[in-house]
This record gives sequence, C-alpha cells and structure tokens, in this order.
Amino acid sequence: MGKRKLSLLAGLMAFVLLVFTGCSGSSETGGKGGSGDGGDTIKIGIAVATSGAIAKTGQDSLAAQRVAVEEINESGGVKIGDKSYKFELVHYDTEGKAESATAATERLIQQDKVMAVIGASTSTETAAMIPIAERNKTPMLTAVAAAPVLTNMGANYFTSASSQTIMAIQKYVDGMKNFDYKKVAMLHFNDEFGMATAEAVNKAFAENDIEIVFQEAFAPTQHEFGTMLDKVAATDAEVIFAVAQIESFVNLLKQAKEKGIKIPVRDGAGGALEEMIKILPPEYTHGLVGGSRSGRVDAEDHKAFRAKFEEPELVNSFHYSGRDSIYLLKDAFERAGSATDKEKLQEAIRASNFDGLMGNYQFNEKGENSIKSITGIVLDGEIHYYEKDEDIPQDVIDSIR
Amino acid sequence: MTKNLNAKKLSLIALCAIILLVIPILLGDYHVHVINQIGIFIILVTSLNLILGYTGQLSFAHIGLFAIGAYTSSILMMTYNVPFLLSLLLSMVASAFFGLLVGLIALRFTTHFFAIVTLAFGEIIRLIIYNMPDLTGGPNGIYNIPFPPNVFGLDFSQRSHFYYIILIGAVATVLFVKYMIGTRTGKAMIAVRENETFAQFIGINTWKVKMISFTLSAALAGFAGSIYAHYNSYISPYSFTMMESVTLLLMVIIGGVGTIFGPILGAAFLITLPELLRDVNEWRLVIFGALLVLTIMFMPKGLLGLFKSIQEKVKSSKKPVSNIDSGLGEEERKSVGS
Amino acid sequence: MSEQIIQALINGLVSGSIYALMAVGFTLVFGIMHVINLAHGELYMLGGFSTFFMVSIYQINFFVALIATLIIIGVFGFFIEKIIFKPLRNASLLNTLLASIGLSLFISNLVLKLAGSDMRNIEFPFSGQSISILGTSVSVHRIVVLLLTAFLVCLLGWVIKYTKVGKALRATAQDTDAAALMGVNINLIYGIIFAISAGLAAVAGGLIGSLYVVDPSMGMMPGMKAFIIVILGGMGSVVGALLGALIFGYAETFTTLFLESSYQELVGFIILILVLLFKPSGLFGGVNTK
Repeated sequence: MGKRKLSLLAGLMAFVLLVFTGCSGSSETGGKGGSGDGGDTIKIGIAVATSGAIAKTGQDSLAAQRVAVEEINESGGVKIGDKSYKFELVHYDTEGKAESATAATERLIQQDKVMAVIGASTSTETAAMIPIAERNKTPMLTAVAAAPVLTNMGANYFTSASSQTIMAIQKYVDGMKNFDYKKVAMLHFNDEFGMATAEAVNKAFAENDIEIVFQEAFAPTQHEFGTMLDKVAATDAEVIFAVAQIESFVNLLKQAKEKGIKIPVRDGAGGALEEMIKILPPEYTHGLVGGSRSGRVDAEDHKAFRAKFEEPELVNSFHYSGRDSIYLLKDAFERAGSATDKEKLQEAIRASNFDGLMGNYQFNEKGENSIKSITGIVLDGEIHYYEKDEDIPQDVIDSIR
Repeated sequence: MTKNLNAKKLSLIALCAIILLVIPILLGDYHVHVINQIGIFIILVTSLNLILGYTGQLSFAHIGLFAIGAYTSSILMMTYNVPFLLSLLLSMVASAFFGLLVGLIALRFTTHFFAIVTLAFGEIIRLIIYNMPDLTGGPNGIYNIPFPPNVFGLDFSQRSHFYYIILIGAVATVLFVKYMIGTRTGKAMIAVRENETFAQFIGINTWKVKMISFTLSAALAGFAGSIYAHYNSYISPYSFTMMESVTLLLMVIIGGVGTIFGPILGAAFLITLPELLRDVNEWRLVIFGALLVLTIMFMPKGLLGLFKSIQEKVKSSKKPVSNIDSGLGEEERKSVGS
Repeated sequence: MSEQIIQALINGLVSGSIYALMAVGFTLVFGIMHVINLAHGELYMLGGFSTFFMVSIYQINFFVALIATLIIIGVFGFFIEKIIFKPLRNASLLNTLLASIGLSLFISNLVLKLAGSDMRNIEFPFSGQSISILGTSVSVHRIVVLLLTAFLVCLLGWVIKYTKVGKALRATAQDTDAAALMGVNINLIYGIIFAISAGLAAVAGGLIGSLYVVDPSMGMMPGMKAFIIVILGGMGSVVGALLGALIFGYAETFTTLFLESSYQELVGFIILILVLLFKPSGLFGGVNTK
C-alpha cells in the first residue's frame, strides 16, 4: 500500500517537473510574438484580470495596449540609440485574485523575461504583485488600479500611471463651488478605494465650508439602493456625491431617477461618464457631472485612436489609460537609452514628462502621477467637457441645479 | 520478502526526498513559486481533510481560520515585534481558539446545516476583518509583512529558500495527520464519519471527537495561514472569500476525500491546471469549469480513486480496496430529503 | 421617518419577492432531487441576458420577452438536468454541489467570453412613472415586479396542488421509488422540476435586470443568497423559501434604514445562525436533522 502511494508520489513529482521544464522550453523557443523579420524585441508583461467579476477594465485597457503596440511597431518601433526595437506584449489573466496575480507576475518576470510589468485590475492584485517586482528590480506600472495604498507601500519599482483619486480632490471641491452646493450627501464604497476617497473628500470639503449632511458606505456588491436613497431624500442635501465604480454607479443613478429623486447625482470616482451614457438612456444621465479622466475626447488624437477600434463609441478612459501606459514606456525606453537595463528604465519612468491622451504624466517620489481630470457634464445624452480654467456657462448650471 | 519490500520502500522514500530537496535548484523562480503555493495549500487542504475526509463534516469555515492564522501572525510580528517562530505558534493557538468557538456552535448541526453554518462563520470572520481597519488594515490589507529571519545561510526573501520552510511544514502536517488517524481518537473520527449513531452506540463521545478534530484542523489552518502571510508578504480580506473555500473543497474532492494522498494530488492538480492553461487566457475558466464538471461526473472518487481503479483493472486483484465515499454519504442524502 | 418606514416596507417586499423567485426554484430542486444547485445564479444571469437581447435588440415587448425567457431557459434547464445531473443521480450531495460549481464557472465565463463584460440596461415600459401609496410615491416598476412575482408563485402553487404534473411532483418528493412504481416517469419529472426552477430563476433575472443592469457576473451573489434563504426557510419547503426570502429582504432593508448598507451581509449571516440555533432544521424544515 505504502509503496504504491510512494511510487505514485514520485511519478507525480516527475510529471510536474517534466511539464514545467517542457513549458519553459517551449515558450523560450516558441517566440509566439512572431516578429519574424529579425528585428530585436522588447517584451512587456501585462497582468490584468480578463475574466471574473471585474473583467471589464482589464479587457478594455488590454485591447488598447495591443492597439498601441501595433501602432508603435508599424511606425518604426522603439528607437534606442541607433537601433530600433519592437514591443511584444505577453498577457496573463489575474482573475481578480491575488494568488493568480502573483503567479502571473513571477511567470512574466522569470520565464518570459519581460522588461516591465503593467498591472493589475484591482488594488489587491496589484498590492500582492508589488513585492515581486520590487524583489526582482523590475519596473511595474498600473494603468487601472488606483487606490492610494499602492503608492503608500513605498516601493521603488512601482509607479502609478492610473488616475489618482487624491489628485482629483481639488477638482471635486471646485465642482461643488461652481454650482454653489453647500450641503452634500456622500455615498461611497467601503473598499480601499472608496474609504480613502471618502476620507480625503471629508477633509477637503470641511476646509471649504461644504457640509456633508449624510454619509454612508456600501459594499461594491450591492445593487439595491432604494432604502439608502430614501434616507438621502429625507435630508436637505443639494447633491448626491457618489464614490463608486461604474457597476454600482449605474444602479445607483438608475434607481435615483426611477425613484424621482430631484437632486442631481455627481460622480466622485473619476468614473466613466462615457460608459454611463452608453448604458443608460438620456433621461437618466441628463445633468450628471463627473470628473472625466479621459482627457479631451473630442481632440483629434483621441479621434484617431478611437478610429482603430471596431466600435469607436465603446472606447473609454481605461482604453486611453492602457494606451498611454505603452507610450509612456516607449518614451521611457528611448530616454533610458537601453533595452536591457531595468534600473535605467525605472529611473526614466520616474523622470517622465510625457504627454499622453489623458494629460501630462509626471511622477513624484512616491510614484504618484499628477494627471488632472477635467469636468464632464452630460446634457441630453452627450458629454460636454470643461477644463479647469474654463467657465461653465450659467445656463448649464441652472438647468442642472 | 518483507525485507526486500522494505528496502524498495526505503529507496523510494529516498528518491522522493532527493527530488523534493533539489527542486529549487533545478527550477526557476516561477516554477518554485507555483510549487510553493501548492505546498501551502497542501498544508491547508490536509488540515481540511481531517474534518471533512476523516470526520465527515463539510466545513466552509476553514478559509476564515486560515485568515485568522495569517492575520494573527502578521500583526504579532509587525506591531508587537514577536519573533517569527513564536508568531507562528501563537497564530496556531489563535486559529485553534476561534475554531473551538465556531465548533461549539456549528458542531451542533450536521450535514448541510453544518455546511451552511460554517459558511456563515467563514464569511463573518472575513467581514469582521474587513470592517476592523485599525487592527487589520481593513480592505487595504497588510503589506510589507517581514520574511522569517535568515538561518543557515538561507535567505527567506527568496522563493527558492522559502521553499524549504514550506516543504518542512507540508511534510510535518501530512505526517501529523497520518499519525493522528492511526490513534484511538483518529479511529473514533472515522467511526463518526461512517455512522455517527453507531459510533455513539458503541460508546464514543462523538461530540468530543468532532470538537477535537475541528480544533486540530483549525490549528493546522492557522499554521498554513501564518506561512502564507510571511511568504507572500501581503494579505487582504479578498484572499479569504467563499470562492476560496470552494476551491479548497474541490482540492479535497478532486484529489480523493479521506485519504492522505488525495488532498496532495488535488492541490497539485488544481493549482497546476490553471497555470498550464495560462496560454489559452480567455478560455481558461471556461475550460476549467467544464473540466471540473467532467471530473466529478467521471471520477467521483477523485484522481486517487481513478488511479486505484486503473491499478485494480491492471492487476485484476482479488482484494477490493476499501471504498471511501465523500463526507456526505447515501444515508445523509436520504435523511436530508423529505 | 414614518414615510421612510413605509418605503422600506415596500422595498423589503420587492427585494424579498425577487429572492423568493430564486429560492422557490432552488428549494424544489433540492427537496425533490436532493441537488444543491449552485449554478442557479447563472440561470438567473442567462434570464437577464435573454430578456435584454429580446427587448433591446429585437424590440420585443418586455412581458412577451419574459414569457419567452421563461420557456427558453426552462428548456435549457431541462437539458442541463439530462446531461449533467442525471448521470450524477447516485452521487453524493457534495459531488453534485461541486459539479454545479463547475457548471456555474463554465456558464458565467462562457457568457463573459461571448457577450463581453459590458453592462446592459433593459428598457422597461413604465420606467420613471410612480403612483402614490399611503401617501408615499412608489415606482410603478417595483409594483409590477411585485405583482408578477406574486402571480408566478401562485401559479406554481396551483400547478403543484391541482395539476397532474403537480401530483406526480408531490408523489416523487414523498417517495421516489413508490412514485416510480405507481407509473410516474421519474426521469421526466426530474427534468420538469429543473425546467421550472431554471425558468423561475430566469424570470427573476429578467425582472431584476430591468430594475438594475445586466452583466455576466450578476448571478454570483443571488445564487448564493438563494442557498442561504433556502436553508433559513428549511430545505425543500416552498413556504419556508417564501418566508426566508421575505425575512432576508426585510433584514437587508432595515439594516440599511437603521444601521448602514455595508452591514447587510453581516446581518444576513447572523440572522441565519440565530434562526438555526433556535430551529436547527430551518423555519419549515422537517423534524429530521440528522
């Protein structure tokens, strides 16, 4: 009996060994990137969730990253010194789970030998990946996950290229002042992102004499907001400030409108207005104000980029963010002057002064960026954008208040 | 004859030991990382097997007890500067204590009632961790958890060195459970699984046996949790969800419930399979789901059961191997109905 | 405050009625077939998608689409039973449970792959309208959901009580072997039970999809909640499932009203444990808890 089991165990281990060595062999020689023409390539690893409940953001940013890589490779590649390199993307799904994300990161760095890793979709995955990037001295960027905890971990090799909540706080204060709101009802996620934002907003609003008359946290899995909205309606709040990702925000907005709640709903997550107007009919989204993190989507660069997609109208801020992350790396590689030196690459990333679609990327010593979001207002199913120094027309303000 | 067999057995053990010892030298960090994950889950699943496989109680609270181990160890070491080995020990004590509390309530139930009550407790533990940011970091989790201090020139911040801690942990856990089921208490556990009424009838204090089994398995889950935390150096409540509980169960069932080797096989299979499927990214979980259904349909006794039946067919043996069904047997099924 | 309480009473009733549609199907499958089907939530999700495609793409009337969804997903459920659960009929409760988890992973990820992760809004005929009840305004949408649910539950009750199929169902539930001896086609009955269960979940998905939005991961939580509600009410008991659903709907609503939304889940689990402590087999469970 014991012997049989032992031989089984030995067999199993031999099998695992074989499979693994087989795997590593195939991916080294296979080179499925197929650059073919003998040009040198630089591998970039992408670890985002493309399955599971939070697949949307990862799928969008990944699609844009693929388009960006294609653009770069077609237009001469990455120029380092007098040589030009092609980018090759290697993507693994992280499922929204820390375990999967760590394994994906190890595989990208150890086996695929990528020069940099971009990931992930949630803060949990990203936070679990950061120690690995740090240990392997491999530059890591995020284009999606945005919680302050990531840059607070104090990692040298991690840089946040996603839109940072903290940077948007002043925008929210200005937004309230523009419309002369004094009493706010804040509804926010109880996750790392929502709690951090709520805390910062509370402080900033208090300093500017904006009163938060109602505040409540809810789980990202919540879909039913009826009773919560009734509670809000019973207060004298002039506006609902919602810090929630699109999945919950859509439900919140829809239910508020169906309930006949008169006060406007404002987005406090730098969320995707573009997404919102696609999902909901105009009568629901009219008057919605949000900090758009997409940059000026009516600009020519944006239009040209959107035209590369089969359904340009579905392109959203995560696409732009994904696209920028690749161009940011291209820029950093060219300034670093090396296709193989990760340390130089990391220095170049942190020293970026790069103009992407979303705005100008510069990083502080913690790796936080300074992208400013612009104000978007939905009127009759269309978004109107206003930059910081632009005045919002009085009739627009009146029509919403 | 027996001497000959023993010699063969010994040489096989030696072979296994050598393979296990050289793994980190032969393989790259990615593969070592995957094997390390398998190792941690072997500890966890083996401990789950004690209550599920040997005592016949389907517990979903295990992931919560695993979380308690992970958090206790991290908090002790980071906030109170408790040395690694002591934190490891105390995290086992903490998990055992909470296991005892959960058991006191949950073990009043049987079959699917026990399952759902433990599921509720597992979730309650996670939600409490989530809602206590001052102690646990809340949804942010705990980061920069220190690695165990270096010994014998081993630097545990490296995957290939940490491997040996996990190896020792896993071997110790498996041997402990193997020893445990050989003892009187262990035999009583099996008696409870097979037929609780009969076990009571022949004078076994079934309540006590179940409590011992549950508490022991909780302590081992805490052990796994502590190693998990120090290995990954980051933990958050998102790693301890209901879905993870289900994964644990799958490992036990797919491997072969109520056997020593089943959970080892199950953990190896369920962690390796998704890794092997990484190249088919988008179809990965679709294939995984389908394979799961097929596995259960065609291998109801798990991988180990499959191997055994193949072996038996080859040998067409005279002695039937004792068939061990999963925790909830035919009898419970009947009584659960109506 | 009193207005809020009236609103909460109505909200709780609406949430509860949706949970009821899920839980009744779940408990039927368990009570008669002894299968804990954790893929129940995915059938609900499929119902949401089916309704969405008919209403928004093919411009079919919402209510016609719901009936079509009931039938389509019902037939789908029938075949699921035949393909997956029939071969597992003699397997243990745990094994069928795990198979259903595999099925759930398969369906949700397949839909994710085919339809993408976008959220979708089902247009509802009376959206935005509201009527006044007891001095507070309630949206017509929610009233319709409530009435439809009540109608479906009554219809199911009528089918079980007064039709030939219903008699066969009850006979099978009481004693499968005896029913088979009396000439009941057990295989057919099991298929029908699964079809009913799937159809009801699908209608719930269509209704909820119109209240909220439809996406591939929408089934996860409701599927799990149906399981908890059914345990709370007593496995296999339809009345228990209805009551459990109402308790759950109200527990969530009043937690939001008096505490905070984020405690909803916690309160739900605590109620479950408390109820089981006092009534170990669930509210309407059989006496036999072994």
